[in-house]
Amino acid sequence: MPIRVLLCNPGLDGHDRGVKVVARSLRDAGMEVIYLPLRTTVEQVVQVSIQEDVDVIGISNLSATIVPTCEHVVKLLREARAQDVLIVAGGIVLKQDREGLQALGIQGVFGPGSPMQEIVSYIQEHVRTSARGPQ
Amino acid sequence: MQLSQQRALARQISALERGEPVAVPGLQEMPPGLHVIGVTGPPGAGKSVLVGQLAKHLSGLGHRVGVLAVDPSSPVTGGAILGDRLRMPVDLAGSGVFIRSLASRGALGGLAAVVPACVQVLAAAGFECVVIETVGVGQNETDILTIADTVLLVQSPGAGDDIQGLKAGILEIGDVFAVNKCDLPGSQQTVNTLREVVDAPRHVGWRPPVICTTALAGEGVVQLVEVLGQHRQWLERSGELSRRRLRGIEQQLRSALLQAVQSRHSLSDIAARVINGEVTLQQAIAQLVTSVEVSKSRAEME
Repeated sequence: MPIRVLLCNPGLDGHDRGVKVVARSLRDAGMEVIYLPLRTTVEQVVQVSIQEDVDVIGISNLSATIVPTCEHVVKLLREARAQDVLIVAGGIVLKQDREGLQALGIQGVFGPGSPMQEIVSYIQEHVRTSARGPQ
Repeated sequence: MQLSQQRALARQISALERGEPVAVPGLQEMPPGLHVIGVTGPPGAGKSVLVGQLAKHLSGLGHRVGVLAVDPSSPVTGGAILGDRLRMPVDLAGSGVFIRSLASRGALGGLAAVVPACVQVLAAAGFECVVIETVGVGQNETDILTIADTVLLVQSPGAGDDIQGLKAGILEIGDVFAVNKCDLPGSQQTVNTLREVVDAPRHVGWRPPVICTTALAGEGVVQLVEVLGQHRQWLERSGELSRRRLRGIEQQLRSALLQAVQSRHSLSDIAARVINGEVTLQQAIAQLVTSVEVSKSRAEME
C-alpha cells in the first residue's frame, strides 16, 4: 500500500516552493501526497489528516514558527488519539529550534539543501508499519 | 460528527483500500434518501472548485455531505498528488463535510476501484449526499455511471466546436451540464453547443439542463443544486433510480468477476497457447469457465 502523506504549511508563512518540490519527490517515490493550500490553521490540518487517514504529516515553515506550530499539531493529534502519525518538519529551521523539535519527539527535520532521497528514506523507514498492514 | 467518529470512518476507508472487509451495521442497505452525485469532466474544468461549492451549499441546506475525490496514480511509480482538496474551502471539514481523497491506483475508468464500497460506508454512517469527483477525464472514462445516481458533467468554454459535441462518449452520460468559468469569453457558444447536444435526450422526461457557473465566485451554484435535486426527484418518480442502481451493481459484479479470473489466470498466457496451437479457443474458454465453476463450488463448500 502506498504511504499517504499530508503536506502543509499552517500559519501565515507564504513560502510554498520548497514544499511543492518535496510533494513531487514523494510522489515520484510512490507515495500518495495530499497537499493543503497556504494559510491554513493547525486545527484544519489535524482535521484533514484524520479524514485522509494519513501516515505522515509534513510541516513546512519558513518564518521561524516551526516549533510552536509543531507543538500545536502534536497537542491536537494527541487529543484526537491520532499520535501514531509520523511528523516530519522542513523549511528554515534554526539551530535552537532543532532542540525544541527533538523535545516534541520530531526527529525528521529537513532544512534547505536536504537531499530528497534523505527525506524519502526517512519517511519509508520511520512510518509506523503497524498503520500500514492489518491491525 | 466527532473527530473520533471521523477517524473511525477514515480507518474503514483505508481498510477498504487495502482490500480488507469492513463490518458496519446497515452496510447492505441503501438509505432511501441517499443521493450519489458524480462530478466528471476534463482536467482543469473546475470540478474540484465546483465540488467544494456544492458541498458547502448542500451542507448549508442541512444535508450531511460526504465527498470522495479521485486523482490519478502514476502508472510508473504508483505515487499520486491528491490535489482536489486544495481547491475546496479548507473550512469545509470543520463544518461537518467529510472529504476523502483517493488515488485511482491503476483503475482506468476515472474512478478508484474502492469508490463503490466507500459510498456504502458513507451511506451507512448517515451521509445523505455523496459527491464523487472523478479524475480529469478525456472522452471515454465513464465508470462514474456504475455508481452515481446523477452525473454532473463540467465543461469549460473553448473546448471545441459542434463536432466535438457530436462524438460518442462522455457527453452522453451527463444528466446535468455545468459550463464552468462562465466569465470567460466564448462561454455562451459552449452553452449553445451543449444545448444542441442534449436536444436528443437519453431519457424521456428528462432533458439535461445546461447551467452556467463561475465556481470560484460561487455563481450559479444555487441553481445547480436546485437542478440536481430536481433530477433526484425525477429519478425516483420515473423508476430510473432503481434501474440505474441495479445496472450499476451488475457492472460492478462484472468487473469483480473479471478481476477475480484475471488474478488467477494469465489471459495473455492462455491467448499464447491458443496462438501456438496448443488448444483451440473454444477449449481454452471451456477450461476457463470450468475453473471459475470449480472455485465457486469450493467457496460454497467453505
